[in-house]
Amino acid sequence: MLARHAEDMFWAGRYLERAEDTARMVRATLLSTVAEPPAQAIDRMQNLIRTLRLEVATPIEDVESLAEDLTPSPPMLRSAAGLGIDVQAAATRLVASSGLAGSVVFCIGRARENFRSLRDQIPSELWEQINQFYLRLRQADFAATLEHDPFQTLDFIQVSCQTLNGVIETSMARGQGYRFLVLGQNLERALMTCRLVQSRYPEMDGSSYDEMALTLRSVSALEAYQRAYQSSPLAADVARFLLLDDSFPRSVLYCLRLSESQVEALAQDAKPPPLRRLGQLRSGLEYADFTILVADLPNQLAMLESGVRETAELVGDYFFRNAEVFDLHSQAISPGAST
Amino acid sequence: MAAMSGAASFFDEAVDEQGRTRAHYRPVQEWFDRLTLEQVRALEEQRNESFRRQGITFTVYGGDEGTERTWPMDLFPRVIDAEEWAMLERGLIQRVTALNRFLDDIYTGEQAILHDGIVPRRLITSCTGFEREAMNVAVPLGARCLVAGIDLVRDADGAYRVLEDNLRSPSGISYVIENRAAMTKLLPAAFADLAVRSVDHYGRSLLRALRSIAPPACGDDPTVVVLTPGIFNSAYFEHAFLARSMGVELVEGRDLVVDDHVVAMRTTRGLERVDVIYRRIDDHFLDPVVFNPTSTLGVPGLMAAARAGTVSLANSVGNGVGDDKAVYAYVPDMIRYYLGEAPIIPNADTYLLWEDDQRAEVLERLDQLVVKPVAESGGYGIVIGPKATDAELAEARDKILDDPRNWIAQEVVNLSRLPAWAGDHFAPRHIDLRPFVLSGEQTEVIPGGLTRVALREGSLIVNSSQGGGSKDTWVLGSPDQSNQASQS
Repeated sequence: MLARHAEDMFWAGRYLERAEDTARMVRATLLSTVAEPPAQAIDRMQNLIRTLRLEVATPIEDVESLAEDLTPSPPMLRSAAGLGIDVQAAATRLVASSGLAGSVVFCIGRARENFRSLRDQIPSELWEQINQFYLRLRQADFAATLEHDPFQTLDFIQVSCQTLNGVIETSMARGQGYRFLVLGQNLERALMTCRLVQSRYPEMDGSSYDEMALTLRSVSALEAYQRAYQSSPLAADVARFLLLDDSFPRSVLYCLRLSESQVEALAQDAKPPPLRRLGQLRSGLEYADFTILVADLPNQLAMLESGVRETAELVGDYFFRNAEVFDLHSQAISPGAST
Repeated sequence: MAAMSGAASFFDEAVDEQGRTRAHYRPVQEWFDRLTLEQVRALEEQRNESFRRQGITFTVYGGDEGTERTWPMDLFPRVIDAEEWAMLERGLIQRVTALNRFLDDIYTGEQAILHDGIVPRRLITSCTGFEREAMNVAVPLGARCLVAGIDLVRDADGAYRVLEDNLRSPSGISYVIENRAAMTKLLPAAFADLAVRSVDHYGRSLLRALRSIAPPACGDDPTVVVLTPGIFNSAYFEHAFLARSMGVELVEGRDLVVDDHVVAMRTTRGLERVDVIYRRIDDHFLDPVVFNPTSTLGVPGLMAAARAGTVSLANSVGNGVGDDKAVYAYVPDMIRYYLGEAPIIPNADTYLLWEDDQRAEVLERLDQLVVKPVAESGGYGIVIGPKATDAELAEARDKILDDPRNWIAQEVVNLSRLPAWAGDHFAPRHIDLRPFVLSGEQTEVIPGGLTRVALREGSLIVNSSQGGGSKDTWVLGSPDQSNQASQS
């Protein structure tokens, strides 16, 4: 497969995942603020903004700067009279602002651009689905619809993302393209879950069901967790589930395993750098003594996060930017070799 | 203008002189007659939604940053009966065969046609499309023009004429196939009684043609790629469509490297050799080493590889010498010279402005003729005498006198008409036809082609960049012909 196409596929996977996760987290946060006093609602929204790493937002050129109302203590949120409405406004930005790098609209736009340059590689149904989804998000009335009916609109986004994943699962051949897409998705998913635990762990004091439920709903894990831990309110149990569960597809361990098997299938060499890094991360997590891990959680999570980011870099160096190191006159040229 | 709009001066495709629907249009006409206004509007809406969802768009440059527009397809199809198509098919194969012989004669042959004085040598050496870089670069099977798009029109008597040849990178075939796919979904019942010949097999035919020109040394499983300028090119949709329908990689210049005259693409597993490139990048951007040094679209060293015979390019470099509009005037002579046959489809009447007597006559009647630059395509630079202002005519006169070799003049061809939807009713609009001809081991014409329609009342400009639309084109087969098409 062309290195450029592989890279586009990888990023399409990352952006798709990021969009879906963001929508889900915004939905869970809004839901949790419905019955809360304004100050509490604002704290939760700020916590979400930290999870999404948008404290210092990256505005796109020539679009009104959003950094100022997405900083850790946004003056707009603090001072305005109708505080509840501002939480809503922040949510709308996180979803619908095309000028905010990381918003749902931005991510779906990027994923569409990636798929557009892959149109010869992907099933037509996949292209049509993302194109239709994107066109809906870009309609002039979208932000207003979101403001007016946030839950139904966020449901629509989630269902659209799930439909995309369904099309990918049921119509894409399990070739390199599929594997790079799944790899991108799972590395991004691992990052998001890791960050969620980072920012939500201190909020869960073991007494508040709401705080626990918000954390778990942010990754659609509430029901699975309730079955596995009989609704234990302990923050440590929630962290253990989200980091280490064997069967939940958004746990960090699960995502790392799935990523590892993609890289293993894609690599030509026995243990290329991205596979080594992934293997270290995965086994470090898998065989960790949880009491030690949880005692030093902030540091452990920070190391995990930087490990996943480093893996993504190594994937790029090994798969997407490898051609320079090959010698054209060596056996690297294999006429008719399958791509 | 007044002289042109007389109804009698146009050929009507669907209606005869007595106002009766022609036999091959009867089922279609009856079908449309039964539709109510609401039904047509619903079909139009369905069509737009479908094209939008699929992203079947083209880019219009200019304005803000180039806009993506959905593809304008008119619902009323063009119909060509089997006998008429058989004649066109023979004529197109004849013409493209002669043009390929001509290109090969010029670039790798003895230039016999110049020695024998059939085509003037100075016409070739003064041609902007003539590329010295392509001299002695051989192409397997002599298929220098692997994909040709030949623009046909019908004059006031209904006779088909060739208006121009497109031998470089003719586009539009993806729309032929998408139009058919859309029509099949929109009007399934309209197909019921007609044996419309299939166009779906184009990808397979193109791949077969491309593989047939692979360098002999590369074995029997050559690697074919499509080379595109990238997603911002107006025809990107088509490039992706073709790569997908052939199942080959769609590469950009930055994906390819040339070393020691071998072309390879950068893959996730290192470099992989490439044998045949269907390139949709213009000659001058193809290789910064020999052409435009500032081009970032191309691949340094590509021409040297082609010359070494390690890679085959389609279409070949330098085909512009065959579709130069002054050279066009000599195509009927080429057919007689190379094939010893009489041309089946005539040219439009053409004047060469570098010939003193012809130029003098043209300058007398500039307001009655169409003036075209010889090396442009896409309808750019054309002056239609009867519709031009005095200032435009004066400007055209100056340009002709300044560089007569760069211009030709043609009699106005009053393009034939066919009903098209005009907001609330069907009204006659002017159309042309671009069939696609594939060369290689065999020469093949895809049934029909792209029918373009000038959607503005009275307009003769059919280019999609200038307010033109398209129509699905139905070639009717006798039952055994449609069988063949579905089996091939």
